[in-house]
Formats: sequence, structure tokens, C-alpha cells
Amino acid sequence: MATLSESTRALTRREAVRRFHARHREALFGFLFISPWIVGFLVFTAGPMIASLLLSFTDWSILGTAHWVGMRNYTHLVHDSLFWTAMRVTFIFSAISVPLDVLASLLLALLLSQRFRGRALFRAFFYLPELVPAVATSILWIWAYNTHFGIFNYLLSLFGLPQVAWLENSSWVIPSFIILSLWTSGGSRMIIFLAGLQTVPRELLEAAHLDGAGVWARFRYVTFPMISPILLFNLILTTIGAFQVFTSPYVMTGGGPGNASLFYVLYLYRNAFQYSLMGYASALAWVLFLVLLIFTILQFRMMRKWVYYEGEVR
Amino acid sequence: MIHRKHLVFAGALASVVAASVFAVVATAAQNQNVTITYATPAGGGQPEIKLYDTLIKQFEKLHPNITVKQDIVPATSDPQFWQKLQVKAAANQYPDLTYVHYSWFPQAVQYNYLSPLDSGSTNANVNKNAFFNTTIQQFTNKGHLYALPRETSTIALYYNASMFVRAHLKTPNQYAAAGKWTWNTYRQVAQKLTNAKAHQWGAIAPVDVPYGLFSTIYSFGGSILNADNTKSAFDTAPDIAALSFLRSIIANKSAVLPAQNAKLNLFANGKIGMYISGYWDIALTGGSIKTFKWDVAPLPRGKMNLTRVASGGYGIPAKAAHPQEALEFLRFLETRQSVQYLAKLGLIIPALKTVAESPTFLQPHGVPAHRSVFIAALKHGKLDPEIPQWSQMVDAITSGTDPIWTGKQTPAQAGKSIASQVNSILKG
Repeated sequence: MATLSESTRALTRREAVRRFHARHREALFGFLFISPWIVGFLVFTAGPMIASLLLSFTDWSILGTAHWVGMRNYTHLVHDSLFWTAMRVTFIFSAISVPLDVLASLLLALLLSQRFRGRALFRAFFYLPELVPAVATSILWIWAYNTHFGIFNYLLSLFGLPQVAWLENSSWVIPSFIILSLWTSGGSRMIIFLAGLQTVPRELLEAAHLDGAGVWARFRYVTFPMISPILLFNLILTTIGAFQVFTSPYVMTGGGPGNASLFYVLYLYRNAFQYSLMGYASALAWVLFLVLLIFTILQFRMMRKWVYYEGEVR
Repeated sequence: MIHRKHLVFAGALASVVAASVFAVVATAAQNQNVTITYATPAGGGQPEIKLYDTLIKQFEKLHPNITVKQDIVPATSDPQFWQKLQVKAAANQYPDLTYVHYSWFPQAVQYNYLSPLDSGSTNANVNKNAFFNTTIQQFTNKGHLYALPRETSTIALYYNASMFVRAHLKTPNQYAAAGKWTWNTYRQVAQKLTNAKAHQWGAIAPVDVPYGLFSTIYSFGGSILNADNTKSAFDTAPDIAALSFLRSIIANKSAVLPAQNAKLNLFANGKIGMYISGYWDIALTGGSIKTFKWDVAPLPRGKMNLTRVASGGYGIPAKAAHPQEALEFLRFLETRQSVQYLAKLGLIIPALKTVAESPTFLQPHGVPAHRSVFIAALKHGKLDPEIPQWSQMVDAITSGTDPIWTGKQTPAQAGKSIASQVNSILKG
């Protein structure tokens, strides 16, 4: 018969093994519950990403066979003048439209966070443009931008201002798209700002008011720091969205006039589906990914300077 | 030792095997009934779909074991239709019969997408002389025919006859009859018809690629590429002359750019005196014109009396599941009755000579009165170059000519820049 200490040791060993299996069972159930998402992610996101990375080193053309060409697509990219044109167009568009869009959404959110009658109705109306499908919006704006019959030139003529060839003039075509991007200022971006503004503690604002802070000072020293994480979030998402603009240039100008509106994703689409250069298009896609990654990292780095997190946990 | 669970397992296995054998035998017997798909962009919209439905019903009566399904692949342009066919091919889906357009025919042939229709198991045994020979030429590659022509189209001039009457001008047809319908006359007429205050313009500048621009260049004696498709011809004198002419009618504001028209249908709304387009616009645009009289005329004569010719046809993919049944359907579609029925749609000039030159088709008493201009132009038709990099070349020409119309570059500068871009595209 075992001694008491031996049977105690056996008991604790069995207990330890049981607990080990219990924890693993818990982990197993956890994985089982999130497995639908994991499978979806692997099949629809990670898998295609890896496939496109591999394709970017080949000369695949959908119907042909893929041959390994190493870095040839990437070196071709550097010497491709249309690649640089597309980069430049997209950069200029993003540099101007991103701050404008975020600012417009913030201003609208500030306005719509005030108390006034019919506020809910206004919020709904401002949100509506985001619900209109992108193609329908683009066709509508082609009419609005029409040089001879469009409403914008009509309004200009009422004030005696010269007519603008919005979509036919290579200097005006990017500003036309920037103005178009302001159409959805009242959309999800604004809703997120609204939600953030609700979380600004009223006591802080009241205390500041009592200390004699005016509207601007209250915004600068209380509201702005409190919503700065949301501002960062919106900035990052808007940047990523601006770099991926495709539908409106595809429908409205087809990249013209003279490649003045050749947005990056439009150029990528052309290479993939019109020229059947899938390998080259995959390389273009990965370059875009790297550019956006660098931008996002930069934005996160700079966030330390101006983003205030309550509790100071970054 | 055999347990009961072993017996249960053996029984289950045996029934599964029996069921699958039965299923295979059953489907083998059922395979007498074949369903084939006909992929089409249905450019003629609902009328075209209904027309083919009627033809399909007639065909299925003659061939009770074949069912035909129309696979409408929506596309706003013919290159887009080809893009969708390619994506389907990547998923191993091939129609049994498909519409083929000349613009992507070279790529299809390069990737062995189509079967030859004049030899091998998919020999359609058709008399090539029954078709207009530009159409046969366009679908022949290395001596073999890879698509049977369905339609052909030429480019001519549409004009607002009522506007000409109001301006007390001779119509283009009258000028043409007197042998005076040249590009200079066209320019003068366009200027006389322009009334900026009334938002009325003499013409839509034929600078759209390829329909307007290529037709104009051919008429000026130029071409898009050299004879063996290895170099661009945009830096040659006749091409630059055509570009300069087009710049002049835009600069003097008597012609409006086509992009703006495309969305507003300015001609059908009575704002344009003349515009250049293909046969399909008789039905597409002409059908909606109710407020003025209109007609068609030959293109102005440049250095030569040339216009642009293009075709569409039917092809059988090399990896089609049922090529023999598709061939039966193809033969049916190319009979005289079927072609005549299709021509009633008004969108196409049939490639079959007997139908195109028949009085029912030419309709001398219909609208437009000078419809025969399109058929007559077939004799002066020039084909676009057939290269696999067609889309890239078209994009380079479109973006390269834009600076000419906005005045940022001279035709000579733009011509040189286009030529060097296209040359590097051709090199690959």
C-alpha cells in the first residue's frame, strides 16, 4: 500500500493533469468559436494576399501560364512613367482632400452636436449622400460638372464669373474630384465624430466656461484633446480611402484628360483587367500597400505629439 | 472476430457504392439532353435578347435534344465583355458559343481561347465568299478562321437635316453628289451652323478613339501603325495633318468634345449639326429623335475616300464543354433566315452579303433615307490594326491626344509623344 505522501503526490499530479486539460479545453473551445472568422480571414483575406504577393513575381495574364520573373515587375514599375503619374495624382488628391474631408466632418459634427429643433432630421439628411451608390453619384456629378449645361457653371455665370471646364481641363479635374469627396462629409466619419463629442465630459466644459474660456479656448483645450483619438482614427481611415479612390474617376473621366486624373487604383485596374498584366498589377497593389503602411506608421508615430488618451495608456 | 458494427459498416459501404453506380448509369442515360450556353454582351439590349430567344426557340424545335441558354454578360464596352470572359476562364467556365469582337480577337487567339472554324472537329463548312471579305480577314489568323462574322459596321456622318434647312445650307449628301464634300467644306459648314448663344454647335469633334479619330486619320491618308504592326504611325505627316485639322475645328469652337456629348445625347436633343458614328446609332440614337429630320451622309473626303470598318462574330472556345452542339447552333445562326431576322433589329449590317445587299435591308423609303451610305462605304473600308496590346494602345492614344484638344501641345509634339509610347507598348 502507498504511503500517505505518495498518494497525496499522486492526487496532486492527477489534479494538475486535470487542470492542464481543462485549460487546454477552454482554449480549444475558444478557437472553435472564432474558427468561422479565422477560416474566412485565411480564405478571403490572408490567402489572396499571399497569392497576389507570389503573383507579383510572375508574368501571369489570366489565360496564360505564370512564369517566375523575379523582381522584373518591380524594376519595370520604377521606370514606368504612368506609375509615377498615378502616384502623383493620388498623392496630390489625398494631400488636399484628406484634411478638408476630416475638417468638414468635424465641423458638421460640432454643429450637429448643438441642441436645436429638428437636429435628428438634419443628421439624417446630411447622412443621405453616403447612401447613394458611388456610380449613381458619379453620373450625377458628371451632369453637374458639364461645361455647357452643368449647374456649377450656371451658378458661376449668375455671378458673372468665367466658366470652368471642370472635367475637361487638366488643371481643374483634380479639384473637381476633391469637391466631389466633400459630398459625403456628413457620412460615417461625421457620425463617429458625433459619438466622440458626446463623450467629452460636460463638467470639464462647464469648469472651463466658469474660468472664463471662450468658445475657441474651450474647443482648443478641452474638446480637441478629448476627441483626438477619434481624430487620429478618422485621419488614418480617410487617408487609406483617399489612396484607393476608383469608382468616380473610372466613371467620370476614365483617367483623362491626358492622364490628369489617372488615380492609382484606376491604373492598377487597367493593368489587371484591360491589359491582362496580372503580375504587374499585383506588384502595383503591393507597392500601394507599402506606401499606405509607411503613412500609417508615420501617423502613429506623430500621434504621441498631439493625441491625448485618458489614463495616458498608449 | 467479426462484430456487429463491422457488419453495419460493410452494409453502409455497399449501399453507397450501389447508389453511386446507379447515379452514374442514370446520368449517362440522361446525357442525351445537352444544354449549351451562348455568351453575349447583348449590346442591343432587351430587343436583342428577345430576338435571340425567338431564334433559340426555332433552333430547339429542330434539335429537340439541345437546349440553349443565353448567358448575358453585362458590359458597357466590348473590351469589358472580354475581361469578364477571361475572369470566367480563370474559374474554368467557358461558354459553348460566344460573341467575338475584333478588338479583343488578337488576344483571344494569342491565348488559344478559340477553336478554328474552318478545319478540325469544329469545321463549320461555311462558304467564306458569302461574307464581306473584310469581315473574314478580320477573324483570320495565320490562315485559319477563328470566328464566323455576324455583323460589320462602317462609319459615316449623321446630320440634323432640319438645322441645315434653317441655315439655308446644302446638305452633306448634296455636296457629296456634286463631288464637293471635303473636310474643308465640313469645317465651313460646321462654323456656319454654330451659334454659341443658343448652345448649338456645328459638329461633335470626331476625336473619340477608335471610331471618330481612326476614321478621320484614314481619310487623311494616314494609318495607326505601319504595315507590319511594329511601329506607330502617329508621327507621320498624314496623321499629324488629321490631328491639326481636328484641333482647328475645336479651337474655332464649332465642334464640341465627344465626352460631354456622351452623357447628354446632344445630337438627339437637336444641339448638334453633324456627328460621325457607326451604323448602330441609327437604332440607338435615331430611335429617340422626334423633333427634327435627320439623315446620314458619307464621311468627308480627305486625301482618300476611306472609312473605318469593323466586325463582330461568333466563336467557339477551345475548352467549350459541348463544341459539336455549339457548332449546330452556329450553323443555324448563320442561315439566311436567321441573319435576316437579326438584321431587323437595325443595329447591325449583316456580314452575309446577300442579306446586306437585299432591298428589304436597304429600305430606301425608311429613315434615314440614305442608309445605303453605310453599305457603299464597305467598299472603301480600312481595318484597324489587330494587335494583342489593343487596349494599351487605345489608352495611350486617348491620353496622348487630349493635350492637343486642350491646346497644351501642338499636333506634331503630341504625335511624336504618342508614337514613342505606342512603340514601347508594342515592344512589350
